[in-house]
Amino acid sequence: MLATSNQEVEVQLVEVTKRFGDVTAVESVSFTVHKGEFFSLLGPSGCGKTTTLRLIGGFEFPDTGEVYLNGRPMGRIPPNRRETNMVFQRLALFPHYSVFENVAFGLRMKRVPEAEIRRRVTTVLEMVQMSGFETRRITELSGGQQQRVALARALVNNPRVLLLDEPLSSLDLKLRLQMQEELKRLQRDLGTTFIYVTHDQGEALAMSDRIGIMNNGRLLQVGSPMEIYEHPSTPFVASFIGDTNLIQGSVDFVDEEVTAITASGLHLLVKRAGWETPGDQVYVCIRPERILMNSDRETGNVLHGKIQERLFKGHFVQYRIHVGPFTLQTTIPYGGSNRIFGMGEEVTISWDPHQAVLLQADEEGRNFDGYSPSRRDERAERTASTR
Amino acid sequence: MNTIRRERYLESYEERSEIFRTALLRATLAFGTGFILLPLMIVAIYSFSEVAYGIFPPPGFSTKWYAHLFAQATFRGAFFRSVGIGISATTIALLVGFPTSLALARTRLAAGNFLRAFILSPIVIPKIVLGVGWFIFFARISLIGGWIPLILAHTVIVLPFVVAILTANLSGLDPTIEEAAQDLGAGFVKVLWYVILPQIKSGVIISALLAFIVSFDQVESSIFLVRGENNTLPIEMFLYMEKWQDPTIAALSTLLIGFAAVITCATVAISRGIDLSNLLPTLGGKKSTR
Repeated sequence: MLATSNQEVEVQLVEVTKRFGDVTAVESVSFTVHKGEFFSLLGPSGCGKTTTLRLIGGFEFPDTGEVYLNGRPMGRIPPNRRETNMVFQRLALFPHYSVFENVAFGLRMKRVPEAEIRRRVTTVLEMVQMSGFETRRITELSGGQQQRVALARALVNNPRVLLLDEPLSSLDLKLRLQMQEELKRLQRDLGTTFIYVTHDQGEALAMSDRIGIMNNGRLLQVGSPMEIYEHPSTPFVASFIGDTNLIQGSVDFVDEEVTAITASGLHLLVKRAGWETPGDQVYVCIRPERILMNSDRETGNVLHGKIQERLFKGHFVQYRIHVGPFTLQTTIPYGGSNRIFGMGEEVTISWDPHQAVLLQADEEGRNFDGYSPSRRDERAERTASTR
Repeated sequence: MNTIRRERYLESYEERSEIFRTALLRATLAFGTGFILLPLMIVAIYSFSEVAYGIFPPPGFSTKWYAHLFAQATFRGAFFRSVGIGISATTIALLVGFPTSLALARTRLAAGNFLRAFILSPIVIPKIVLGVGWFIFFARISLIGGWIPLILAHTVIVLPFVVAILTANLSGLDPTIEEAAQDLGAGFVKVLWYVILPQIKSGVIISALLAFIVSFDQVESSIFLVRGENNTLPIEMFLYMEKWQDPTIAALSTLLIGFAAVITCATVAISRGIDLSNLLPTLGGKKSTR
């Protein structure tokens, strides 16, 4: 599955912690990135992903723990003596140099002979489709073009590891999607290790071999996009990657294969996780597309609800359905034999217990910041119905 | 119908008040410019006077005062001394002021504000007070006379101008650009030379010109530090005027006004962004011009 042919370790973080004053930006983060891998750090803003990237690049040094590049501890080695290159979020191109001089900067610093500089800059500008722009000033370029120059300026040095800090965030959607494909193609062709920081889960899912999900300075889960989608480790991860329904309840009893949950009067079955004991506070995580509506293949959990909202999204239709005290989201592909349900229609929904994941609820009293359980806000609803 | 007339009236009212405003602005500008320029023009006209006594307008014109001026070896010596002191003080102020400004622009410490206020303080301290202070100081360490006290004193006086301009320039820079250079293999010195300096070069040139003019113009701060043989030009002019009232000083002033005008034009040209990139480093020596 991974693009890595060998599992040689390129970057390793061991128990890295970084504080700024009273704020712990990165807390005891450990992970490994393999040679040639496209690894993404994904999380909301302020989760510590950029700081982690800067720790790898040498722009910050860890308070405790160690960053290893190619097996060597980096300690307090500055960025100019690390075999990494960074593409900055704000691009940070040199405003006083032409495109050519911007790209050539790294080679000039290494005193590469002039002829080789010409050759390598020309090659890399070709690679990012910016041939012919050599003499332009940076201010004469569009956002997308500047993006390409920033990428070329880093790639021309043949870094062992390319660090990318939300490089596409300033581009419009269409250009962003196009650049995503190009980045992925470049990474595949060059075989360079990419570490990519983003808050956009779609971007991370589309490009990455593996993703590390961060929140509040901690690394919550590392895995391939599919692993994380199928087996999120916490409610936060489940709601951050893709759409999901999170149903809060408590464990009734644990059977051989399935566990029974009571959630505000609803009785649900879910695939047994192993750690749960009766009485535990848990979440049942079920993806919208795994829920069947009025299906003749009803299995496991069968519930009755009423359609509250319908959104046509092109290739699929999204419904919000009131089921007891919960609002569940479902998505049904548009077209074929699938019928469109009407607003207010009574429906039967069902899902296979093996399609749902059991997750540990946070300790009592913790707020729900960062993820949204499917429970309805009853107060808001009462006000709405009295109108 | 009525509304249309009313609108037309309002439009013409707008137009008239617009014309009035422009006229008022132009008049103010003309008055201000005249206020500054007229005395200088009188000096210039007076310098071509035929007679030695102060009468305006002069009864006839001649260039004999210019001839007289160039015959005075004291003025020539003082001019080159003033230029030398100005260039030295400016150079030292730039060498000290650039790192200081970099530190002030980047520090977040409370001490930074104190240090900034301290360095800028010579602007507000009466120069004569500074002059007396330096006189006592340099007399104690037996360093009166010669160029060194003058250069050091002028450095302290011009440093605030350099630091004020350069900190403003440096604060405007994006620090991630320096991080990018560092990431591409540049150490501290190369970041300074290839990334920071080229971005603030117009600030460096303007602050140097300003520092030079301020140094060239010093009288009160220098008067205690000179000893006859090393008078600066303004002091030599002052001494001459105590003895003679002929238009020689007017001739010299006219030349200095021309000198100042050239520097001012250069400053304006630089701040308008005329490329003087040959004065400061570029990479590799190759110009990529279109």
